[in-house]
Amino acid sequence: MGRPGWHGESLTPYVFLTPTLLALAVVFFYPMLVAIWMSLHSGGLGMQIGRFAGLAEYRRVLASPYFWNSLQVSVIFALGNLVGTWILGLGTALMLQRSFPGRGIARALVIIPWAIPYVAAALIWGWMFDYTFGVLNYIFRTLHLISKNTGWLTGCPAALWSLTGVSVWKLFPLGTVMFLAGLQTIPAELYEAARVDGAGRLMSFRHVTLPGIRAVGVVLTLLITIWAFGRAFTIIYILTEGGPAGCTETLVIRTYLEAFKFFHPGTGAALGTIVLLISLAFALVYLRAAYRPERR
Amino acid sequence: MWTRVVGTLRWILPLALLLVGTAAGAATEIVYPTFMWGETWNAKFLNELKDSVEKKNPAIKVNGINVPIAAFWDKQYADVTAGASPDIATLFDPDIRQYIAAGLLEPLDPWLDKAGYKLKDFLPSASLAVEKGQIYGVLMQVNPRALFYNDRLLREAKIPPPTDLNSFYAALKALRDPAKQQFGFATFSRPGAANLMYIEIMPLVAGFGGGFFKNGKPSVTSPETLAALEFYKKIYEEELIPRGLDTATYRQMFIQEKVAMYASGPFMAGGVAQGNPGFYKNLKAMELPFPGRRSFTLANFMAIPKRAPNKEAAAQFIMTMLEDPMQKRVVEVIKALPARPGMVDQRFLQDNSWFVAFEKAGLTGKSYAPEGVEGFAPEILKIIAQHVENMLFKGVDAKRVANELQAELETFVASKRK
Repeated sequence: MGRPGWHGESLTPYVFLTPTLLALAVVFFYPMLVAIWMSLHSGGLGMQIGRFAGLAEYRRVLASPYFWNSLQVSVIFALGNLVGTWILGLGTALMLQRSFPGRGIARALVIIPWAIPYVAAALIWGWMFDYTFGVLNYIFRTLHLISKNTGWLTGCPAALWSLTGVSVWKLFPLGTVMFLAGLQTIPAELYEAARVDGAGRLMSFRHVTLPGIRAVGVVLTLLITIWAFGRAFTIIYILTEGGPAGCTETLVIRTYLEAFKFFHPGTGAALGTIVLLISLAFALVYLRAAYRPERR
Repeated sequence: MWTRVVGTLRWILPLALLLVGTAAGAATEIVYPTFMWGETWNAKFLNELKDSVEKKNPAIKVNGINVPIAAFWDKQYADVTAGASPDIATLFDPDIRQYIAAGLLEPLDPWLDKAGYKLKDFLPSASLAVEKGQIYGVLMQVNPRALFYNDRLLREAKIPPPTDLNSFYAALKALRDPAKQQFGFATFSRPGAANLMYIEIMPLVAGFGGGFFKNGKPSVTSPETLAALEFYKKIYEEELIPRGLDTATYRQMFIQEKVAMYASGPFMAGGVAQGNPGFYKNLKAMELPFPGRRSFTLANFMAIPKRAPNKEAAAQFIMTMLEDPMQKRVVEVIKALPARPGMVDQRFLQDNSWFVAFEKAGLTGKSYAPEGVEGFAPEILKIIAQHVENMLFKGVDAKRVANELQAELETFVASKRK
């Protein structure tokens, strides 16, 4: 029998991790490094990287008014998603945590928006938002909430808010599930103790519920922010393609346009790298918050 | 042991030789991915062409792959640039200029010369595929623009087919019926999709005698272009066109007789014949009734990518398409103009009188791509769409939009000439 150590048990975890690391290296790290390398080159197409241009593509991106517009749209879209998912997710979780007849069915129904494919959801919402034939205008007109039809996807900033609404509708079940899991870890005794101390519902929520779901909240915040900032594409592309007049053109849509429509892979790669850096900054904030020692 | 080895070789060697022989005599397979394999009339024509090529050249097999149009352009671009090139590429007007500029296409001159074709043998749109005297693509079909109208709807409203801007505008007002969800005319008024917006509003802009570019210089502030933009804004704001719908939807509305007039290409007639045969007999077409009396064409090219593995076979496919029988089938099956003029039979015109307007437009119409700067079309179209959207959706007046668009296009063109 050899002695356990570097050649024995301590090697086992690395052996198990190797396939995952290899897969990540091929489908994640390699494309990421190539994209960063491409962002330092200009004029290439496909396998041809182009000529080395240093930071010229970054300078070009930062000098473009379209970049700053896209950055602003991305920030608003991400914040809207974050706030909407938090409020709807937590509100629904608090409701579904209570005991009432049909709670199981209600919990299953809440998941539906999350389960609908993005393309199908975007097409359905597209028809609901339609100016002439859309059901939203019909309902609001019937209820006398509006006197003439609203351009949900043709107005600005109406289009941005409409897209944010669809995105929140798709994402809030994730928040609900996570918050529900978090709420169930809070001991009932804490609420009991708070009530004995004279705390009302609002005080209990403030001093027991919110601290109890802090860890879940931090994870959700990070996930939603990174998703909405750096990955949201399908709904926006299908419903508005970044219009009207750039009103919903996020950094991701701009990246796609530069790389695939305008044949500027270097500019697209530079934009992608900028999105990556911003997402990394969010991740660092998350890691600091997640690993901060608990205050006693 | 040697006996076993020799015994094994006795059956392995003939098998290997058979395999080598089969490979040597195997057909060359042309890979031709395009969205057109999934479109009724285009697919019918392509299958006829495929059969004809394979019958004439038993050593050639055509592998037609249907790629949905939503993913097609990105996929083709990725395949061609990454080295996994198809044998035949599908390219519209601005795309072919970009591909030529990027050095992605093979000149077709050796095969065209051998078959005896010169540039003058093709419709004017073919010149878009020419760079430094070499031809990089041939027209598969040309779709000029004219005004389709529903004769029944116009007759019921007691309106004659419009012949000028005033009668066109009056017809739009008379035919608009919110209770029936009926419109006199439809064109693009949806955010995004810069390319489609440009294609769909060009009948107005070109019809007024305007254009966004002339000889490589922005011409947005010309009186004709400005008048076209003002008219477009006016019919949008008066809700005389359906708002916010995508092209597929309002085309369907035209087919279902909810839209009375639509400026489009002859391919629309195929959609009407298939989707609403009862309407087909009332389908008529005429020259665009706008002051400039001009039209434009939208061309669909076939080209061979530089890295295509089977260029010779792909060229045989394209040369077969250029022969008289297949050129006539483009007209009869797709109901579009083929690469070569003079291929429309009188009998076809008698049965499809609406085609006359398109044939006339095709013989003179220029390409819809921005003139002189076709290679930068995607960026230019995006810039144009941004400003037109400002006009439609943000209420900016047409003159201000024209001035701002002119300034941005001038800056853009100057930046490209540095």
